[in-house]
Amino acid sequence: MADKRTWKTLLQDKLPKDWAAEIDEFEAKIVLNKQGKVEPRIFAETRLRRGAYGQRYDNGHRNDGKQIRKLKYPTEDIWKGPDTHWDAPGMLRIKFPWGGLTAEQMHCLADLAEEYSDGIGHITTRQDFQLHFIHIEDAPDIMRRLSAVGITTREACGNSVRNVTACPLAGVCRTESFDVTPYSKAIFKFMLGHPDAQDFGRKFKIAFSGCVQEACGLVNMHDMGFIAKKAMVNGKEVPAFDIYVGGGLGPVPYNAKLLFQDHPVEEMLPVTQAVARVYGRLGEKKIRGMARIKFLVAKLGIEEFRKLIVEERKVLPFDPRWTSTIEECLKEVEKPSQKAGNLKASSFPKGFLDWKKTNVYQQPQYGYVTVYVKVPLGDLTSTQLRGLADMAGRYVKDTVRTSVEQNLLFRWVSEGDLPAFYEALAGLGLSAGGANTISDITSCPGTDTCKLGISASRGLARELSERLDKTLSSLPEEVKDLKIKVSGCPNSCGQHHISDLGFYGVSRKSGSFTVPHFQLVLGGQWKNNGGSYGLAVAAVPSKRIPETIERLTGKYVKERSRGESFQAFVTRVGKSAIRETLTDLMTIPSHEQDPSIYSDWGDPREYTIADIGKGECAGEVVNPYEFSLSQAEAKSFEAQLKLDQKDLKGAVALAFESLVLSAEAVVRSRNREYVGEAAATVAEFRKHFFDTGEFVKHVNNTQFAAFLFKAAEQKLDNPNPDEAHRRVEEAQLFLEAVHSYLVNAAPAAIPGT
Amino acid sequence: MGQGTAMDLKKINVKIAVEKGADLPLSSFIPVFHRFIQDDRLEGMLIDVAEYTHVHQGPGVLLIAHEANYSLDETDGKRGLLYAQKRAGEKGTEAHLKTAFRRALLACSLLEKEKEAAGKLKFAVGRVLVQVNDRLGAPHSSGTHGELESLLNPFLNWLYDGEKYMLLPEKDPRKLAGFEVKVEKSFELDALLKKLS
Repeated sequence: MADKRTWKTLLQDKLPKDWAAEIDEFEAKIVLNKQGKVEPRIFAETRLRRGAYGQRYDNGHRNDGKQIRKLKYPTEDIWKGPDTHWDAPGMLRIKFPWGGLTAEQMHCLADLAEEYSDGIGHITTRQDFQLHFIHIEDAPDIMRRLSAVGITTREACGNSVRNVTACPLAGVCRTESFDVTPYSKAIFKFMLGHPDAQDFGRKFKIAFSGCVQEACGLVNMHDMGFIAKKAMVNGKEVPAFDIYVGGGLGPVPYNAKLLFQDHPVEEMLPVTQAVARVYGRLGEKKIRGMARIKFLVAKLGIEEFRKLIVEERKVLPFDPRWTSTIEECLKEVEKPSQKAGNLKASSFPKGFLDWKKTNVYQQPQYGYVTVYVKVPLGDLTSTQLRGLADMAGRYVKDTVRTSVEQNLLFRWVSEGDLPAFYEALAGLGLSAGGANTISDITSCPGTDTCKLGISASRGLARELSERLDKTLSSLPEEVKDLKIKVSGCPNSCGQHHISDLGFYGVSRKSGSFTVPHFQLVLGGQWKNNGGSYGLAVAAVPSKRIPETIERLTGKYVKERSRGESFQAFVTRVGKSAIRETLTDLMTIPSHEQDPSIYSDWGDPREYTIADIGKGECAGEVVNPYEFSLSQAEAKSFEAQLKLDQKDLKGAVALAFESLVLSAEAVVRSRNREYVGEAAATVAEFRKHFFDTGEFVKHVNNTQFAAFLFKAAEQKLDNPNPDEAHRRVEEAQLFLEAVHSYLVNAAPAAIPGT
Repeated sequence: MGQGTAMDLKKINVKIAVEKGADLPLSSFIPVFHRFIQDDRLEGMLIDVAEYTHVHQGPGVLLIAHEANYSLDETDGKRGLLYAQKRAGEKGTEAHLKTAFRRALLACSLLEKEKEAAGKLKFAVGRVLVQVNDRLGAPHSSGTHGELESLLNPFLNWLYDGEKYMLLPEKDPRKLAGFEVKVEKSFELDALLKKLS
């Protein structure tokens, strides 16, 4: 024990040579960076490509509830990225392609969570695992230990091909055309570190679905997606893919466009390579906010984009791995470890039958089921991970998968084993029912650990889950099936756009205080691969979201037509009527009346930025910018109503008015007397707030201001539904950015506060 | 205190069991930990609070510090104050042990006095779990336990004034190497803390 054993020497025979070399290289860069021989910006991209992210407060500042406190990290002069302290805790994202994980890998995660993190392994909304509060110097050993069990963190972050996701039921699904698992494996293997995927302006996400109609792999919201089909070739049914490109959530969601229909599966890899080449060559590189492939596809149009791909495919040098990788992966067939069985009528453990209703999926393979393990907020302890690994060994071997809803699926459970399986889960505290119901809430990390978080998405999700779990059995069936998804900011990591009740974090000023809010998003669709995106309806203080849900679901139950879905109900009733239902909840009480509104879920700190002092005249002086802001809010909402009425032109016009009024609010925050026409307001905003970097500095994003400039340049006289939808969304996001700016900008810049 | 051995441990976990207050809501400790950060009440560089009250028998509520994590931990269904060293410097095992015990006991002492817990929370300072959170330096083996025992004995004899105690080794080979310490005589928390200061 006293010798100088290292993980590197201990595991040297267990790591693939290329993976080991990459980790050694990364470790060398850590040493060089500490010696000041690597630019922090360069080191940041290096570590991101290896899955090592920054985390909240790594800039060395934290509001402790009383003041902005400087965090005095021991190595104050060493940085792991621009404005990112070396010693600040960070996050490590661990890729699990198609969500597959083995018992051995679960044991490994358990050990790593315990030794280097906070004892928790966290399942993400893209089937990855994350470890939080990691020190960068521990990262190479963590990577070695992961590599020894077949896991890489390479390209888990950064401008690269991220984790390849797939329907977690692939291969055991009743509605799939065929099992997409081997194909998702093949694309992961082929694209990992591929030279054509190293020069992207942004990340690139790929997903696989086995069918069109279920949520499955959520292809519609991905940069590139594959939906399994059966095509007829020479009178024979053969597997094929409908290939989509250019989808994506983010602040402004884009629907993916059909690139090729009924495309031969053997062409999957060269087409992907061609798309990577075209994106790498033509995609935006300078403006980060416009660099995803969705912007390129929208700019060129799908016909032109398709033409480019066809041309690129023709000139691609032949690569034997296009077929050999797929053939290799097709040989890896998943098998059950136990014999098929039937559930025999007898006395079952307490709670078993209710749990079975929501958490057990009947496989098409006779005598087998898939069990959904509902994982609260996607968090598992080391003890639970070990217990689950034991269960995998006992009941299914290595057929466990993560889901984008942050749960685990045990596939190929013999039906006869279900009662014992349930009891084993109960022993780990994981036998809660309600998987895939309204109480099974998805959430991104939000303000808990994310640098971009605005509101406590996990805090809200925890609160809602606890409340809904208690009442789940008494809820009407139509409410039980609803989906709730929460993001801490507009960036959609919680996938709020494609749920029945979506929320994303925003903030609002109230006098000299700031109040955490969530923007309610309605009209999204989970099914059909995330078939349509919802729109913001109303910003409600965080603490009033539970009441918001009660009212909305109550209204739905009371007023729905027979068989009417929530999405159809929202469309029929209209967002205006829904917003009216919530008017009183949107009103912010004074701090004296209800101080609890001024803090977020699970966080007693007053939600305010300490450098915004309480002005003597707070509550008495109304700055003209507040009127502009209020008008911008109204126009934005009216634009959404026009969109609902299919008045696309009207929606675009109102969205533009909202954008200009938002810009006017910013201009007036500095010059309260300002009055000007639209073009002059845009020019003023550009000159004094954008070109100077003032606006970007406070909202930390260039994309929002670009929405204003784009709208001013492209009037969209005859918008199509997608364009109108995006313009309305962009107006709302710019408005949110202006709110952020007004909250974050120094008080001196905002007279009257 | 003893001479120590060749073993140099830098990642030591010390978990002090809760004697009274295992039923207090974990969430009531969130504002307490935030206050600890505001007022710099604990040793080390305090960073943030993390909540895992939704997790079954998990880390509960954590105060994340640079050198270690403090948590109201519920692993194995046993609530206690866990001090888990992460980066302990180069002082040697004996010093790390002393630091870990001192910091854990200080946190216990402060927690017992907070308004959310006063009169309702008491730690059993003679029931302590000591683990080595480093599978490389201290893999779970009889050898590790032997060395750890020889390191712990002089320290525990000194801390508990030579009173009788039992060392129960962790049996599950997948868990961290370590011992549950059970001291026969009861001790006052603040007296132990004074000795360690």
